Amino acid sequence: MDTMLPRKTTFLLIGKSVWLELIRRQDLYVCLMMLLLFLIGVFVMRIVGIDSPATGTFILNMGMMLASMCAHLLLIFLAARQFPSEMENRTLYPLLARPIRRSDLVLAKWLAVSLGGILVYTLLLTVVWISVPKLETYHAALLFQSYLLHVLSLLWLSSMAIAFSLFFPRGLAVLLCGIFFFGGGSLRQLISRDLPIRRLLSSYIPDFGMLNLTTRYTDGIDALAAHDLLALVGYGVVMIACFVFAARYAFRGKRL
Amino acid sequence: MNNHANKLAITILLIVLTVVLIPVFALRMDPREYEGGRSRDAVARSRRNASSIAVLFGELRTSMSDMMFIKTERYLHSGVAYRPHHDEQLLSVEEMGEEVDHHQAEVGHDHHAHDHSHSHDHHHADDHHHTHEHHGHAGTPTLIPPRDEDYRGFIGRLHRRVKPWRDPDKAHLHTDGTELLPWFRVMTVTDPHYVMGYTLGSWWIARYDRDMALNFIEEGIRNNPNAFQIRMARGFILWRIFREELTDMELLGQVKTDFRDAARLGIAQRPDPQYGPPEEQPGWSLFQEQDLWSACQMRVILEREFGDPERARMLAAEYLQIFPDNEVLAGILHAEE
Repeated sequence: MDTMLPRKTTFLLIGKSVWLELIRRQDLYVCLMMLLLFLIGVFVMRIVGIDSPATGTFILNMGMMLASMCAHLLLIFLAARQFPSEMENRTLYPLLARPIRRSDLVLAKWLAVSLGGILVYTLLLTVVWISVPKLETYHAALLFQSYLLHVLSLLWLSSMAIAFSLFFPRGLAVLLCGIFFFGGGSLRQLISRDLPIRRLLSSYIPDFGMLNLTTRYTDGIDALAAHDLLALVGYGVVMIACFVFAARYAFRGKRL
Repeated sequence: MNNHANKLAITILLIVLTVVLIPVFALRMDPREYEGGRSRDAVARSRRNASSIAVLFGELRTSMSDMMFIKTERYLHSGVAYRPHHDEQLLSVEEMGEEVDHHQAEVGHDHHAHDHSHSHDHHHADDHHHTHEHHGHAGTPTLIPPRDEDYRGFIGRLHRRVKPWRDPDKAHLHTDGTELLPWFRVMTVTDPHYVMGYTLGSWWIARYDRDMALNFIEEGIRNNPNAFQIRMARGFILWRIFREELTDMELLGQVKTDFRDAARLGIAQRPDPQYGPPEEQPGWSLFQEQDLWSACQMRVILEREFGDPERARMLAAEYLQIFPDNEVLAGILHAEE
């Protein structure tokens, strides 16, 4: 007879604790303050007058980038401290004393953290999108695609941060996530030069820019074709699977 | 035991699948690679950078590559931050070369590199801190205001003391461009589709090391196969090399190919004039128009001087339909007749 807690109960339990951590820590409020500063800037710009449609598009791009960056950074810090902090504070042990599978615990933490990031991103994006005047044409379908890929990007980054935090010290995990999030594309670009084999190998470097369509959207480019979107979704899903698998493997084998 | 073996098999299968699938998806397409786009339009970019929000933030620009472009401008102005006056962004490829030559002549470097060793000698011997006054840009406001326009009093004075600053009414102090070369490398790594980084960067690099400049521009063509201005830049650089000896016919062939490709690509991208002047239509600037004009003209001249004059005449007639006001093309057409 399986004496383990049902998955749903485990996920709800962990989700609740992650949610409490999210709203109790200052990270979220820093993001909200950044949003407030942006809104004040937009408000001032609206009063002064936005001098050209190109400037309006620039502000929209800046706002959407800000929403994306804030949500991702928040997620890195939130995800990377889940296991190390709980181990340091010894709050993980009462949790493990319950009939919970270790792999379920990793999955629950990953999902809960990701959900927090997705909620924050959705909130920021909505506020930015509503507040900035749209002075040029943009493709609504691309906005939807951009949101979908951002969700995948957040799921991927949280799985990466959790996996790294189980292999490395927390600070290093945060640093590595930051390097890949901000510089993965440039690293790929540097490595992929000249030889096809280098291009092939560079594809293994996590490149979050592949899932960011913000500039494409504000550039007024058409929505992606279905097969291209599927390829990007596939890329995100495979990367997520890799890091979730690595995190589960690391935690199952970890001596506590 | 059996259960364990199954788990192991599934794990290995998943790893193999992942290793195979990542390149399949990652190399399938890159959503950042697309033609056009407002952020890459030189005119829209210049307009944004001169907008009130850019002035408000001072250092803020619309992209990382733009910010690095600002760095190159700072280096050339001895570190002094001037308000956006990015004429360089709006130069045609040919003008960029002239501007670079002009700038270097001002600071006392009016020669080109011939080989790598020469460029090293040049680099170490005398380049670094030559400065020269340039009166052409005097009057451009600085980001840190002068004393009579600064309400901050002591703070403003301190700001002017601790940061590189120069009275905006005085002539700009221009420095040698050696130190800005790495910025072109960084700006094109950050944004491989920043065409101006490749065109302007190649002119600068070519002054010190032509092979390096040609490799740089080759990379630009690989990353932007449809950017006709990068092919033009390579054509002009190779043309300069060819002109020194006028013997390397293989090189001449490459020059002709570059201008032919540039003209072909440019004509294909040029907006339809029946909807108004092309340079006033989105995605096409006066400078692209000028570049295309130059590419067509160069192609015809090269064909006349080093190829088949009859073909040059045919090309002139063809390009005159696009640029009916081009007197050089008209001259070639009538002279051949």
